Amino acid sequence: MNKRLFFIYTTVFVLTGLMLYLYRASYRDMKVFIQEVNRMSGVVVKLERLDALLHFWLNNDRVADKSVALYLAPDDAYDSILVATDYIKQIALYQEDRLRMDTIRLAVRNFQRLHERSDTMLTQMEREEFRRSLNGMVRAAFESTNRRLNHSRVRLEESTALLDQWLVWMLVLAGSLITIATFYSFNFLRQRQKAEGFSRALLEITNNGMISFQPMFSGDGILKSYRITYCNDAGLKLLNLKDWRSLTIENILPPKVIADVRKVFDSVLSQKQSQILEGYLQHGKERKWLQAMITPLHEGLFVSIYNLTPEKSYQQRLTNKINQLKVLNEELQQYAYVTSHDLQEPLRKIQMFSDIALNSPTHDDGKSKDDYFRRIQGIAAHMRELIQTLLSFTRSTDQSGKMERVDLNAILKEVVEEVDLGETRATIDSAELPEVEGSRLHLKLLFGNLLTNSIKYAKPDAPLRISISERRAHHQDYIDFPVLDQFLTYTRITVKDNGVGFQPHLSEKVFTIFQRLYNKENAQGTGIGLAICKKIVHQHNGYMYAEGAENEGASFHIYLPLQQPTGTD
Amino acid sequence: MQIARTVVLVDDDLDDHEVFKSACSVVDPAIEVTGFESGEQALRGLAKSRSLPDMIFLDLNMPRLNGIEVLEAVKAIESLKTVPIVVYTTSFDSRVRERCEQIGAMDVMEKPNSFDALCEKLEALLKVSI
Repeated sequence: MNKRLFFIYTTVFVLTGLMLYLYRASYRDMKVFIQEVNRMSGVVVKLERLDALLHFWLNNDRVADKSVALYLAPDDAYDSILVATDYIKQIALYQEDRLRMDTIRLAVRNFQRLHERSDTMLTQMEREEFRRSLNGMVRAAFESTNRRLNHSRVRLEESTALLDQWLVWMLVLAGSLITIATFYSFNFLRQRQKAEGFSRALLEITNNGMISFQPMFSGDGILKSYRITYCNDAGLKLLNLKDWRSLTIENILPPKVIADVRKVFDSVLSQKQSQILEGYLQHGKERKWLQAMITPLHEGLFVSIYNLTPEKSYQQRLTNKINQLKVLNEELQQYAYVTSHDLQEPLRKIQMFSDIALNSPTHDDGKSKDDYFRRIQGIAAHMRELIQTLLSFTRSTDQSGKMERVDLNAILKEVVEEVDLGETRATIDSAELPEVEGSRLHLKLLFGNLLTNSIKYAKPDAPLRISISERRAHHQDYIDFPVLDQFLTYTRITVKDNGVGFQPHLSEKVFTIFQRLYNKENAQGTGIGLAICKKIVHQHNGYMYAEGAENEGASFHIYLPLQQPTGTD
Repeated sequence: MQIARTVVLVDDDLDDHEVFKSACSVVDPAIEVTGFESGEQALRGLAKSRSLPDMIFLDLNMPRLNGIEVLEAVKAIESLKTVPIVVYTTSFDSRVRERCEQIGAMDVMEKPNSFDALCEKLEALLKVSI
């Protein structure tokens, strides 16, 4: 509770206590006053009786008070007076009154003695004087008692008046304090509601999943599980849930991850320290990467879940691109080396033949200069061809073909129809191929070159058989070939022929530009067919490799993504 | 000083064969040059022949059986062990040289760009051998 409120309530409490105390004090005063009044009225009554007795005693011929005269003889009056004064003395509160009574007793006794001793009758005047003085004393007693009573009354009135004033002020003070306190509480509550409203809005607006858990204990205190006490909308979406009520942690996670998650939960709960957990949830084809921050909160846990998928996917893409670039880079390096090498050869020959032609005009073996010049021309033409081929290679995948959905079966059919079988008899059979996203033009070139290559290297004596098979890439493929993007699904197409094949250790060289595995003169073409195939596959974010054995044909394996990744290129 | 009589060239490039033969005839017209277009051909031919060549020139960049393999194969044959082998190639590299010499080549020679240079080199090699 607020410190201010506490202070106010304490003050009000103290004030109330004070008021009660004051009330009690005034009540006591009043009791005392009433007692005094009672006593004093007792005294007054007695004094009245005394007065009557004295009158009767002094004027025994006259009846002062009917009630007195009826039952007393004059002698009895004398005794009664003594009794009365005695009694008054006892009940009198003040010494003054007691002394008066003593004086009256003394005077009355003296008078009686006088009366008894002498026969001489007291004169009327003496009697009158005596009466007056006695009256005076009784009167005095009356007055002093009355005076005292008044005094007390006044005192009481004064104190109650003061008390009244006090009480009024205290009531006012208490009243205002309570009003202030109420006002404060109200404000406090409203602020808290506002804050709650704010945090609730935050929880609902944020993209992060926010879930709170309470641990569930079995009867004998063992931690059984965790149940959800709150989950915001984002959390529901991330975990693919409709509602969070009555759900435990076992309801929302797949069994194989529960053990690990439970371990972390338990550790956070017992050590009261936050931990971070990263993993993914697979929902059909969709893989969601999540990062969860688990913090202890009160007696349970609070989990904040962040969707890592975009980042992970970018990370993956980046890694893949880097791998791809590495592959391309290596290719490029080889390419540069091979090119310069393959171009230097003809150049050297040109120089050689020129030298020979210049320095040895007539040669021993009868060759004329013209012959050599013709040779030189031939070599120069060959060089030109090489350079052209090189250029066409670099350009071959330049026109970035539009990426569209391409039916590979249709493409294969076209290629088979258009390919030049030459003199070879060939059978090409293919399994059903899927539809992929790619460049129609280039994919056609890919298959075209592969078929042409197989035809070129067919065994002269055996009919050529090309078989094409297909399967989807599975988990192991991604491990074997890290170039493949984890977020893409690939089809793996194998083109197998029964041609002359190649030695296994040359499986990478087959893709190198210009390198022909057989004599330079025998093979036709420019030797870049397979290199172009590889380039096309790379451009489609795929991967290609070859397997072969000498005289046992070759197999070309091609991984192509069914869909091209979006936007990162 | 004796001059080599029979020389063998193993190279898949026919132009190179021609140039080589011309150069040899410039050095000494009496030299007999036998050319093989592939490693396999060479090994078969050398096994069949009754006489040993005086020197073997070996190209490295050949399809199927490359020069290194031929070099090793020849060095493995008892009867051919003594024949000096000169590696004659365009791909010249210190590592290549080391490797060839390790296997047992006598020398590694880069295919020169000028005919005169070739003749000089051949002269030096052929006139000194044996």
